[in-house]
Amino acid sequence: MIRKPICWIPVAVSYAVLALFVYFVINPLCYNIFQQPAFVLTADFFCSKIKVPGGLSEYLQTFIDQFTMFRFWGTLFLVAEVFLTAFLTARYVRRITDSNPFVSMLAFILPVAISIVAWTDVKYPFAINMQVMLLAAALNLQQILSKYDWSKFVTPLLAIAIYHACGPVALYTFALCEIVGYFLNPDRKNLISVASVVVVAALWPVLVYKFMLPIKLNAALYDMRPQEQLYVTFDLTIVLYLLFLYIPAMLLLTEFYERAKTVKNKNLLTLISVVVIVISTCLGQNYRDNRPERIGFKFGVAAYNQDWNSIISFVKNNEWLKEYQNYHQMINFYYDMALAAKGQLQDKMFSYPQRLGINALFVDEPLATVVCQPMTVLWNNIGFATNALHYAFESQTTYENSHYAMKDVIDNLLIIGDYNNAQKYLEKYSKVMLSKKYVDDRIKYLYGSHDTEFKSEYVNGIRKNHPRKDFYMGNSQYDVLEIVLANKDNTMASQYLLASTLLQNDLELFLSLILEGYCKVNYNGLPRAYQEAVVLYKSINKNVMPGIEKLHIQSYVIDQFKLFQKDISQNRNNTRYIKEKYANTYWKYYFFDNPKVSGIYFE
Amino acid sequence: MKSYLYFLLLLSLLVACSSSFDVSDEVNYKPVIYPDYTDIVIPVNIAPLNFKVDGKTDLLAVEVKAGADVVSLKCRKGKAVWNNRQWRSLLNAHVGDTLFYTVTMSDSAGKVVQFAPFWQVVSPDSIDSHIAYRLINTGYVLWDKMGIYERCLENFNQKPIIENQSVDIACMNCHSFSAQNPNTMLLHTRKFNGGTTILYDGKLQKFNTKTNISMSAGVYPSWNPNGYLIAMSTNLISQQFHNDYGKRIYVSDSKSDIVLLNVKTQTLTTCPQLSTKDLENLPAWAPDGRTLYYTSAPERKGDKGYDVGYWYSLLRITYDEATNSWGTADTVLRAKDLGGSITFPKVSPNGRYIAFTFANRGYFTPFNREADIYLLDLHTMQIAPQPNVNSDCSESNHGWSHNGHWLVVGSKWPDGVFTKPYFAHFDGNGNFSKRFLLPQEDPDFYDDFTLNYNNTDFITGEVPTTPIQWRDAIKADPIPVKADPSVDIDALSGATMKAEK
Repeated sequence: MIRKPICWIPVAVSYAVLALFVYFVINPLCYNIFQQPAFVLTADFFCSKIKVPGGLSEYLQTFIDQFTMFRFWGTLFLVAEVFLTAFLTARYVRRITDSNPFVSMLAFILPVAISIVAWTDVKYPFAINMQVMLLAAALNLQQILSKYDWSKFVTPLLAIAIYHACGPVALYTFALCEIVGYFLNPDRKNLISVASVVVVAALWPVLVYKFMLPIKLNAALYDMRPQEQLYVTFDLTIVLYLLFLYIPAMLLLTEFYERAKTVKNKNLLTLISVVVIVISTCLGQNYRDNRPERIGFKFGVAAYNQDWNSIISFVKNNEWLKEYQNYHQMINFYYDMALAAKGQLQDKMFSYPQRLGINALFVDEPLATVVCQPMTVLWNNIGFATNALHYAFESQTTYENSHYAMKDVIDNLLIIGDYNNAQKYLEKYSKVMLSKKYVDDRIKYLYGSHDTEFKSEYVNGIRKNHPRKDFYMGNSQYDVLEIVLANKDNTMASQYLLASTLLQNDLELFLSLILEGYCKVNYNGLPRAYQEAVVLYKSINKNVMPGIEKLHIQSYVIDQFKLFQKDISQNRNNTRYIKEKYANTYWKYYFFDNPKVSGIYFE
Repeated sequence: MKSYLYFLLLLSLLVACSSSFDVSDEVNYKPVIYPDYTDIVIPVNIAPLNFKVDGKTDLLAVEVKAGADVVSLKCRKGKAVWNNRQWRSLLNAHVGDTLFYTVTMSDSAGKVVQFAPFWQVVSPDSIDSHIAYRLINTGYVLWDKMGIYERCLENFNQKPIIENQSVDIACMNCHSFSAQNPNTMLLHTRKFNGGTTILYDGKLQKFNTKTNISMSAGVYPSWNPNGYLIAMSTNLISQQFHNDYGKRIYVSDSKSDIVLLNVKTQTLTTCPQLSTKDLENLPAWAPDGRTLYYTSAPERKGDKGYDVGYWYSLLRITYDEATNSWGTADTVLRAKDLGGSITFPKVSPNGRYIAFTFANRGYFTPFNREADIYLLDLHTMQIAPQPNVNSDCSESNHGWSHNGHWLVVGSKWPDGVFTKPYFAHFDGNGNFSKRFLLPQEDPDFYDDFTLNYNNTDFITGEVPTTPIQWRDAIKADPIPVKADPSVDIDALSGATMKAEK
């Protein structure tokens, strides 16, 4: 076997190039990681992970994933991981085939390229990488051991170890590599060893399922993430599966290369590698930051940090978000929240299509795991700590130890004044990686220090708005009403309450809240959407509510409504024209976007 | 044996706290320790009661006197931790005796204080060797991981009976046993792989207990001591969340009835007395196997607001299995007379007492701060609150040990959020001793433990199944139970179906 010493300079240069590419082009910041289970520094956490096939790699990957909360560290760790994987793969291919350096290069490039595509998955992009890295390491180890006679006894044990450390698909890939390797290079492969691995791959998962571990069938036989996790969905499952197949694919490509020696153009493989890189980069670019779902998560981070301007300006600068196919409930939700926080909800809410009506103003119907944390943020901003805590507990139940969930629980316990349980959760959260700064800060607060990031103005602001009266929570609109009743100066709650009535086309309630003084509104300077609602109400009701004449409507709104009525009657079959012309009006929502009319509901 | 014991005691003295200190003050009050194991009665077979003191003070020495024996405990980082063997030997050698603990601490100023001794009486009444419980997070609508676990009370070993990850994260609850016998067990699963899985006669089988004579599948169960009849409530349940953080959650039924499942024949029966328009609930068999106690509240008409004043009474009815016939329902305790709601009745193994939860409203009391344990003496019909097992937080989900000498109580004390099991000795004459918390190897255990011990129940040994067997049984299709053809009850109206037809 020809093995050249590793030349470290190109290795370092490629690492740097790849890191720069990932940092600037891909941006590995995983916005959703805040809401994912965090890495805990306890033996219990370790045991809970490793007890299922693939658990060790998941444990290690959970550790690395924590760094994706930071762009720089995320880049550093993720690139290191994929770089190591690619390096191990290339070494393995060279070990088994004595191949041309070009083949090794391709063996290096392909996993990198696939990883780049995989990283664009916003939900849980990195979970598979560790399995592949451990698999590649195991394949190298197996090759090193193969020169010893006793290796044929060790290889099946190694296969079992791969199964438990990396999961079932890794085991099958290991067996496939053994088979391909044997046919490529029979004199270097021990048939007994190969056969034993195949037998292990065929039988071991079944034995484990039937007699050893109380796990699900799919976890034993084919799951990439065998631990049952509610938060995992794979948009790019096929691509992720490719990660496992590239090692045998490399072996086959090597064979292809050996046979293609007569072909004059020996740079064919280089060309292939370039094509692969270009395609994966294009795919990555296509998905990068442009998926509404990813933007929804990004807004989640911004909302948590009360960075409302970035949300508003992002929506303003990306008109394509308003297109039907790009509509996303969470973007709508966070945009409304940002507008309300800046006191602009009544002015601008219909500048974004409110396609889900009240179900985007509040996202708790139907209640799902992913909306608990956003609802916590909303109730905190409105000033309703018990409901925020309720959702924080729900969130913590499903995303145990997640940074968001734990912080939300702790902060709301502090706001409510349940310091004993806040301390209990701080104790628990202190065992989570990267929690120290936060925990220290809140402990300082707990012991009466004012020199903390948890400002007493923020706490007192919520406490001031929080309703003292007891009532059953659950209907968000009713909940907001209670908050408004508790403090009529709570402008965010008032905006939400009035917005909810508008979104439900309940103009009677809308006007009652204003005219009966529940929501403080300047009668002579009504926001545009409110004026539109009043005009509309007057036009569809013969007997209007007393006192409505006190609401001043600007003449251009009345004129525009007349025009709207005229356009409606003249363009009954051309609703598109109406929708475009009156895009930012409440009338458009009332007649077209309202889910009762459009029939769009959130599933 | 005795020499072995002396050797152990000597050894313990050698390994005990060896730091020298001068006591600067002796006080006549007892130390504050956590968990509070002061002045309690403990079973001879309980696991070591390790404890700690407040973080601001340092535990220097703990000396335990039992008769002529003196043992010094290992003290590190404010914790007093027993050597398991040492503890076991001491308890076995001093059954019926009193252990006196003398605690010496130094405060933050370095002052060394010796406290007045506290005591623990070693009761010869052993406690059932295991408890079973569900561990669940503090979410009340959603859930992720949960499981039913068994814990040996003689040591610190906890094992899963079944965890929900292996059954598609199904919600699992209401585990129950026949007379604390681990060989007969019931477990409901909901949402995914729904049904009632029953361990009976060495076999695990899943049943669908919803029939045309029941409004829902079985909910709150009670095993007849014969080991094959299970009384279960059928309920239409809802829950509300209070803005008042102290109240948190209120769970109530719009309707409920009681049915009886015969596991042997796989049939479900009921009777008009248990299927009225009133809300019959929470069945509890007496040890005679013929008397079924249950609670009942008036039919719900309209919105009852916070249900204040909506109370359950305690009733009983007899059942003759041979003739499959029911007696007449008889009110044992009228809620109005007591001025509150009676829930979770549990009959003592000798049949003389009923321990029940008494609350200001409704029946589902784990979140009800006012809920306390009361004891009804069926001979004298006297009712007494039990201050030794109650606290300012909710007490509920209690259960008797097999010998009737121990009561386990789910209490949210002291944090008000997390349910933990407490144990109290019962002297057989209506008196409980002061309760104590489930011991853990590390006294810090509860500091960051944010799961609830839900529905803790005694069992006399380990459940003789594996999680794999439970998984396979729960994943299987449920066997539909047959409705008793002689019953024509419309569960929702209480009327006979034939009459309606």
